[in-house]
This record gives sequence, C-alpha cells and structure tokens, in this order.
Amino acid sequence: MLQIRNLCKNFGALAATNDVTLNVDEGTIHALIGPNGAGKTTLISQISGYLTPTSGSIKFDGQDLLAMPAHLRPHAGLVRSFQVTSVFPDLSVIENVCLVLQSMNHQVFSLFRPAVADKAERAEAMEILERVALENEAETTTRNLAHGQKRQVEIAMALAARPKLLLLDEPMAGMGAEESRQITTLLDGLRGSITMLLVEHDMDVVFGLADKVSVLVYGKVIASDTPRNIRLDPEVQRAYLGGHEFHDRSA
Amino acid sequence: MSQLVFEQFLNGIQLGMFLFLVSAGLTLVFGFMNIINLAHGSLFMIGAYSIALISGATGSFWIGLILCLPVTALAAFIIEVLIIRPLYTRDHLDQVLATFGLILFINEGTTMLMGRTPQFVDMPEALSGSVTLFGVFSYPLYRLAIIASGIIVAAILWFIITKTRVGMQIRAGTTNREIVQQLGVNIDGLNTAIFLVGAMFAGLAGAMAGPLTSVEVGMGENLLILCFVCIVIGGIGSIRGALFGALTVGIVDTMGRSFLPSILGAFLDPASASGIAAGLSSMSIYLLMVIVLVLKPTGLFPVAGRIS
Amino acid sequence: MISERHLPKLMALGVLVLLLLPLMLNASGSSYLISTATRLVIFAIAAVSLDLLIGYTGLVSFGHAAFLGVGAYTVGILSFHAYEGDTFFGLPGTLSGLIVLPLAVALSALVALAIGALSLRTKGVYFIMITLSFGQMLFFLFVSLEKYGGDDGMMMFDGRITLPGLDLNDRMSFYYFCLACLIAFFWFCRRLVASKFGRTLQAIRQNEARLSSIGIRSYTAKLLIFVIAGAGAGLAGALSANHTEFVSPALTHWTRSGDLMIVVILGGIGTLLGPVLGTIVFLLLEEFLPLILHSVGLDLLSEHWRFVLGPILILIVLFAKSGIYGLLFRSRE
Repeated sequence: MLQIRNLCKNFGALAATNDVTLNVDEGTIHALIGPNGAGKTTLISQISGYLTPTSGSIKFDGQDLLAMPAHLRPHAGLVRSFQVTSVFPDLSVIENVCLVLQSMNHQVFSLFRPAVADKAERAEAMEILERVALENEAETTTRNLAHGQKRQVEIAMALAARPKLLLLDEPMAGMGAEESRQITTLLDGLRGSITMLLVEHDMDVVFGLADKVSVLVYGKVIASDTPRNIRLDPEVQRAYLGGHEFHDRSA
Repeated sequence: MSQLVFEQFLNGIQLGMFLFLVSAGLTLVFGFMNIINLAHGSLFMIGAYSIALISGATGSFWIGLILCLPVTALAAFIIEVLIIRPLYTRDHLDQVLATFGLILFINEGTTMLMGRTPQFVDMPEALSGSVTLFGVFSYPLYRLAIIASGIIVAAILWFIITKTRVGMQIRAGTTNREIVQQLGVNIDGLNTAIFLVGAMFAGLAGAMAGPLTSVEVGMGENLLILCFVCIVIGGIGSIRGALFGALTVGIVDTMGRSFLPSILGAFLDPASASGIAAGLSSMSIYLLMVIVLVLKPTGLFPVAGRIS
Repeated sequence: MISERHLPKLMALGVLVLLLLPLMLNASGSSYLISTATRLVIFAIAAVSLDLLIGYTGLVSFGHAAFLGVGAYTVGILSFHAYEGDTFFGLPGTLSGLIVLPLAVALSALVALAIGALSLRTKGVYFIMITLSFGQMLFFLFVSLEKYGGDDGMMMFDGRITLPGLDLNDRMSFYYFCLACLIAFFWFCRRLVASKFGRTLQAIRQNEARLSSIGIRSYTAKLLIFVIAGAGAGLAGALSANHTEFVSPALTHWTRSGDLMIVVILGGIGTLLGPVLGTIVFLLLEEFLPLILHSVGLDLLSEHWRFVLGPILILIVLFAKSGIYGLLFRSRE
C-alpha cells in the first residue's frame, strides 16, 4: 500500500531522514518506533506532504505521492493525525468532525445552505464521535476539553476522512489510561479495514497492536520485522530499547 | 545631466538614511517585542517639534539637537509604560488599533499646543554651505551630514547587535523569545531599552529633518508608511534588512520622482506624462514591495526561525 | 448583558428603527441628519465586508479602502463620460443604475481577485503590509488620473445614478435604497458565515496549517472570501460616490482603511452585527462628540475631539476585548 524508497531529508548538515526504505502492507498495523529525535514525525510529515523530501520516492496505492499536493492526499485516502494536538479550538467538537466530512464530500464551497441543516453530515459525525467515546461532548467548544479528550477529537477527525492509510503520530500521547485503552481497542477493531502506520512510545500499545514494527534511529531504519523478532533483535536492544525499560514493560 | 543624476542619487541615499533612522527602531520593536507601533512616526514628529521649539528659544540648532533626544526618550518612556506594555500579549490587530488611537491623541494634542501653522528650523551656520565632491560635483553640506549620521548610527547598531552581550540577547530574542526568558534576561528592561533607543533614533531623524522640511502635524505618518515598506522589504526584525530596504526605497523614490517625467515625456504628450509620472513614481516603492513579497513572502533578509 | 438568544428580535427592532429613522428625523425637524444616516448605512456595508476578512477568516487587510475607490471611480468615470457625452475606450458613459452598480461591484471583485491572488501568498504582518501597499498603489493611481480631477477628484454634475421607478436624487429614496443594500448584504453575509464555507473560513482563522491535512486548500477559500469582501466594499464605494455626488482619491487613503478597521474592531470582530454597531458609535462620536464637549464647556476639546477619541480607542482595546458587541451580548454558552 505504501512504498518508501531511499528517502532522504536534510536540514542543512543534519540528515533527519537517511535513506529510508519502508513498505507498509495493506490491511496491517505497522508501528514505527525509535528514540526521541529519530525522525519519526519528520517521516510522517513527508508522507503527508507537510515536508518535501530531499531525495527518494514515496508510492501510495501505486501513485507517485510526491507529485501530489498535500491537500489532495487525504482525498486519495492518505490521512494523518498530529502528535501535537491540532484541532480547531473555537469550533465545537462535532463541527471539527463535520469540517472533515464536508471536505471529503467536496462541500467546502457550499456558500448558502446553513451548515447545521445537513442532518446526514451531523449524523455521520455523531457516529464517529460515539466510536471515540466523545458523544457527550459533541456540542462543547473544543478549547474547553481536557487534553486527553482533544486527542480523541484528533482521532475522530482522522477517521472522518475515511482513510485507506492512516498515519497516526503518537495518538495516545497525553491520554489517560482509560481513554488510551479505549482507543487501542478501537484501532484494533479497525485492523484490516484501515491500514495504519503508527508512531508510538508506549511499548504495550506497540506490541499489543502492531503486525509489524520498524525501528528508526538517527533517521535510519535499523530493523523492520514482526514484533516478536524485533524484541529479540540485539541491534535494536542496543540502539534503542537499551535493556531495562523494554524488559520491565513487556515481561 | 550627470551632475543631476549624481545629486539625485545622493538625495536618494540621504532619504534612505532618514528612513533607516526611523526604521531601525521600528524593526527592532517589531522583531524583538513583536509589537506593531503605528505611533513610531509620532516620535519622529516629537523630535522635529522639540528642535523647532528649543532651537527657536535658545537660538542654537545644536542645543536643540542634543536636547531633542531626552525629550523623545521621555515621551517614549511614558508611551511604553502606559500603552505598549499591556499590548505585549495582545494580537497585532489590538496593537494597530491602540497605537492608531495614540496617533490621534498625539496629533491633536500637538495641534492644540502648536497650532496648524508649520514651524521652521534654521539650518546651522556651520552646515549651511555646499561642498565640492570629487572636484566636480557640488552638494549641500547639511545633506552630507545626514548621510554621515546615518552611517554612524548603522555602525553603532551593527556593533551593539553583533559584538555585545545585549546584542546577542536581542538577536536570540528576535528568533526565539522563550530562549531568552529561560536565560534569565530581564525582558521588561530590555524591552524598554530597545523602545527608548529606537525612539531616540526616530527623534534624531525628526530633528535633522527640521531644517529640510516644514515641521507640521502629520509629518510622522507619511514617513511611517514608507518605513513599514522598508522593513517589510528587508525582512522584519533585521537591521541589515532595514538598512537595505531604506536605501532602496530612498533611491527608487527619489530617482523615480526626478526622472520618470522626462523619461515618460519622450513617449507621451507632456500633460499626461507629468500626471502619470507623478502617479507612477509615488507608486514605485509600493510596487517594489509587492514584487519583493510575491517573490519572497517574508522579505529579503528573513530572520531565521520566525513565522510572520 | 443580553443573551444572544434575543438577537433575532433585537435585530428586527434595529431594522425597524432604521426604517423609521428618516420619518423621525423629519418630524423632529432635523432632516439634515438623513444625510448622516445615509453615510452611516453605506459605511456599515464596507465595515461588514471587512469583518468577513478580519473577523471570520483572520485576514487583517489594511487596504480595504482600495475597493471603495474602485466602486466609486466606476460610478464617477461613467458619470463623467455621460456628462461630457464622449466615450471611454470606445464605450459611452451612463448613469443607468442597472448598468453602473453591477459593473462597480464586478470591477471591485475583479481587482480584489488580482490583489488577493498576489497578497494571499503572504501571511500575518506581511499580509497587513502588502494589502496596505496595494491600497497605496490604487490611491496614487487615482491621484494620477488628471482627466478625472487628479488629487482634487471630480463632481458628478448630472447627479446620482438612475433606477427605474425610484428617484435617487430624493434623499429619502436614496436613504432607503442604501438601507436595502445594507440589509441585503448583511443577510447575504449571515448566510455565508453560517454555511459550510463559513465554517471553513473560521477553521482558517483558528488553525490554517491543519487544513491541508483534512484535504482543504486554504488559499482558494481565502481568495474567494477576499473577492466577496472586495465586491461588498465596491458596492459601498459606488453608493458613497452617489451619496456625495463626488469622487476623489481621499476615499482610498490608507487612513480610510484604518477607519474601517477601527469600526470593525470597535464593534466586535467576527460578529457582522458588531461592525454595524461600531459604525453607529464611530459616526455618532464624530458627529456629536464635539457638541457634547462644547456643551460641558470644554470648547478647546470640542474643536479637537480626536484628542478625546484617541484615548477612548486605547481604553476600548485594553479593557473591552470583544468590542461593543462583547459589552452588550453574552455568548450562548
């Protein structure tokens, strides 16, 4: 579904992405792990079009992604969520989701019909909010939500874009344990229908969800394998997992 | 002809130096404090009125020139403490509106005190002659003195910004405010200092403009708009950019005004040529700015790390 | 404070007052104020159009008066050629409102399209400054039109434009015509901001960078609203030219753009109604502040009423963040 070939991104002398080659197979949940500053968000940003790579190629569904403007990628089924919560703070929760729906339905330039009159759109948005357990906050102005709830809005917005491939940049960061479990279950339930590339620090989540794990260190993919093999890979142990934390949490 | 071209070129540089004196403060306040101060032009006017009053009373241009600095600084201090400080955390829209209100206040206040008749400042005797440059061209000494003061101010600023500790803090603060706060720098003090220094440059420019133009209410706003053009062309927050922008605007504006009529006159009938030339030369700097921004949306010397 | 729930009722009341205003002014013997009321209504159209940009989309345009100028000069130039009986690039002048008004609006929209297409490449402060520059360019363009009066502007010697069944040279009729324009434009804008497009505009103001990730190209949406706002200001400019029967570059001076911004912010951005309230307060201050100051014995200040207006503006900015609208109305939440 997604093929990244020899991707490089340099910021001056710093190689934030260093010759990355990566395949995400259709229907799988593919986790991307690595220490802070390994270039995970930089990679996601190149796939979603926020950054332009220095060299290399990205193919999505057989199309050359780099030739496609960022705002057209969601319409092709490539959708991202953000690590730093990036919602529309003065819109209500349901409007945040409706905004995505109207974009997907090509109704951005609907100039006169009152937005609230579109019952079908609201119903669909409500359905998505139920899936992320936010139905009770639908009319709340988003800025008034707790941080963890804003993360849930972020996921609802990503789902509303009807993704084929979902790029999730630390979706659970800042959520409480309960919400985190809920979202994990939700993502697990979407396995097969939506392909996911998941950046996550919580190893329980990673090893619980992922079909495949890639490890990124200093902009390079040092290993790409099943969770079981990644756990046992000595190079990964040395470079990233560093021993104790990994064993403590996955034992 | 070459005498005329040379003279107008120097006039352009001289206008550029004026613009730079006012723009320097504007760009620092803008870049470091993130404040749009429309009333910066009023400080220019205050400088001009100070010298008109003081030199009128004492009969000495020089006493007026020296005293206009503390006068402008005092005015700037009051403005900074009362109005600018509460605006630090506000968006640009609020800043534009509040400082626009300040302009109304200062302009009407000045009209009430000084009346509507323009004031004039006598040129100091020592600078009133002309000098011969390169053995060929004759040029007024006073205008040369203005160019020289501009160069001196630019040099002082360059030294402070690149060679001193305070300069390092200013550069850091322009790029990233949080860093400076974490370094334990006294931000409030630095803000006030920058505002006062910028104001004194503007006051100095106003004082020096005294003998060249009539001192009147509204003189600050016309100049202010030009200065915004300069700092936007140069890239907001950059002293180098302000200098480059000011010189470019000064030269383009002056040359346009002097030569466009005759250039157009070669193609058009004289009546419409003069009208179009006047319009075109007034437009030229704005056209320049639009071209710069369309090609480089953050100016020619953007300060790294800064968004909008 | 009043709850926003009562807004529709209050707005109906407001429209009623505006409808009855000329009759009341006539009855009280101050019919000269009808002209002031007309000015207010025209200014409000321009202010509402600017609110679409500043308040809803977060685009601080400092050159909005340019479009007033385009609208006004369209009217002025057509009227000039109708009076002279000659042609303009082969086209005859006219005073027919059915041609002049749509043309003024269309030309303003076209100029806004050109200015917007270039200006919207920049953001933030640079956008403020580039729109200011375009405004100045148009100002100097109008100054250089010697044929049409240059600096001094030109009179419309044949009077106002004509409309079938309506004598616009009658000041009552003209007031009602302008009021109808305001109400129609206000209604249009209300629909616009409540639509899905309006939702997109608000999203641009709140978090523009996020839009491409949900498949929306903000540039196109911004350009469209810039054109709509420009067209609205063009309408106001065309009406203004007819109101004073005079067109001059002063209409496009940057301080006019400043006045418009003041009115929008003073009234409360992002509310549409706020800018109308702002216009009322601003023009009332302009009209009556000198009289008030005079009556309390501050004669010196009555001549220099701006000396008082300045601090009022500063105080409003510092202490009443959401403008007059915010002082009057309590949000529904």
